[in-house]
Amino acid sequence: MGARRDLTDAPNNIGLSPKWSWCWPVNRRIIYNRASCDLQGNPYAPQKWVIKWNAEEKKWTGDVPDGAAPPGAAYSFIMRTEGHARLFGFGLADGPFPEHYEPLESPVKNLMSSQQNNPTIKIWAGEMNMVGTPDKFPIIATTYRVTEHWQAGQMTRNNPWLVELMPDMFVEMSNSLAKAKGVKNGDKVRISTARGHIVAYAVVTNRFKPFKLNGKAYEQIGLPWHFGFKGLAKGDSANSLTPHVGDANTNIPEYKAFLCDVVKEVG
Amino acid sequence: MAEKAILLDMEKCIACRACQVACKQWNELPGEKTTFFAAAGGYQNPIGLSPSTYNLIKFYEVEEQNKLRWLFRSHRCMQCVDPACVKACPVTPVKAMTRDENTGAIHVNRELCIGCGACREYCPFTIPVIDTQAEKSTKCTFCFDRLGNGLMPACAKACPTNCLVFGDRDQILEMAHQAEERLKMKGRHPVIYGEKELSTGTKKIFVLPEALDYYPDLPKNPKVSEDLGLFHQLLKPFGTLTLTASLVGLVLGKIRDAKERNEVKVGKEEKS
Repeated sequence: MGARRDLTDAPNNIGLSPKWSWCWPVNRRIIYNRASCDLQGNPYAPQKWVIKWNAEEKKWTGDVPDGAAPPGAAYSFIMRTEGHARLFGFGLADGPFPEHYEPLESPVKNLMSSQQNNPTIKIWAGEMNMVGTPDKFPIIATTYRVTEHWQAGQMTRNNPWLVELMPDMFVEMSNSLAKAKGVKNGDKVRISTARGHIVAYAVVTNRFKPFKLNGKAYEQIGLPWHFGFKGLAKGDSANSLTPHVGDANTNIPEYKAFLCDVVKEVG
Repeated sequence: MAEKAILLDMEKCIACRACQVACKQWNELPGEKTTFFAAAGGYQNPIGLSPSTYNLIKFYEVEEQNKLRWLFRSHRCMQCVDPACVKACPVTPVKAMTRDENTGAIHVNRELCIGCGACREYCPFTIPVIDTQAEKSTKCTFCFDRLGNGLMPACAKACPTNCLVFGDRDQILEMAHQAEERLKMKGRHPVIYGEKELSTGTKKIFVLPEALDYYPDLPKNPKVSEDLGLFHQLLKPFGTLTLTASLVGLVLGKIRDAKERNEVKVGKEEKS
């Protein structure tokens, strides 16, 4: 099969390579591609055209047309009754226009708007989803992943070569926060939020710096995800800390910004 | 086979450490038991090269004038064009630290190696690590067992960013100079390391994006210890006689060591 691959480009020379592999449907590379042309079938960007109308042969050239109607006969967005793109789709709670809201847990008042949080987010109620306030939890926390582990780590935390590279749960923090909390690189640290607490190894690094928000400095810590209580490499899960907030349209959880406190773990 | 080399264009390194894992996979080396950030600080793990780690990504976090740099470097055997370790290897008539004739790779023949450590002693970069249990010298093999079969080294194969590129040494040097130009255009201070070092150069050609000061564990002016030359000049007139004598000495030493170890072992067994 590999030998059949052909890098030859389509006549528009923009790297579509239609003979490299088949693309669903009908080997069309770009959806609604006629939208790149005006009503006469001339491309808006002639130097990097996707598709254009050949008046002599009465057909489209370039990519496979999305709806083969000649120019002006039908609008480009053929899967919509009206034939146009929509900025605001039906059934969505949140609109398309830019607005800034603070995360559910934030140390500051929203400076951009009188509305602190997005009013359309989903907040799961209950004891497991208590909301912390900056007086008790003054430090900003975020979560992320590392290259060496995949998702919750069932595969990677059981692979000795990857465990060697990333053996333990850790928390990254700035030099100033470490100094304030009496934490040294490699110390065990307890991180707590309104929802729970975990223990992790401290990584004191210049890559973390305090933020200046509305004139005041706020510290931030960073936690990888991936760890759990079973496997070759074990560690506390950052999920014990994170809030259960879903974004307005798709319920993607708000794991990137929440409030916590950090103390050096004794013993 | 034309002389081969690996380009290490370290600006392109994202420290994913795929090369470190690929090296272990090809050479069937076990994962080490590590703890997070124990001694090395930062993301580097394990702490150093070992009998089960031939290739290690080192992390350098530097901050000056509020500008933070996070630099990475692959730490391993440089594959010298004129390798001191091969000269230093006392095993005769066939050296244990050997240059593969077909591929030019410098690697350890484990069947011949006596683990004496002369290769490490004379290595200008102090790379080979002696496995004291197996009494063997260990280091990057330049994947001679892949090269001989028309494959590129495992690390270069695994690299997702083209930081590691395998090819003929003259072409690799050309690419290194192109990379140097690219970095200069970006206002960096690139250094090509491995072209002229040790006068004949190495087969790992580094393009480091910043001055050598940022990589304190890389010798600025690597040198082969002068007593290696002296050793050989002295040896020349005596020929194999001296070599044989030194080998006999070594073997006797080994036997004595082994005896001592056995005695210790017996002593332990008695205790338990």
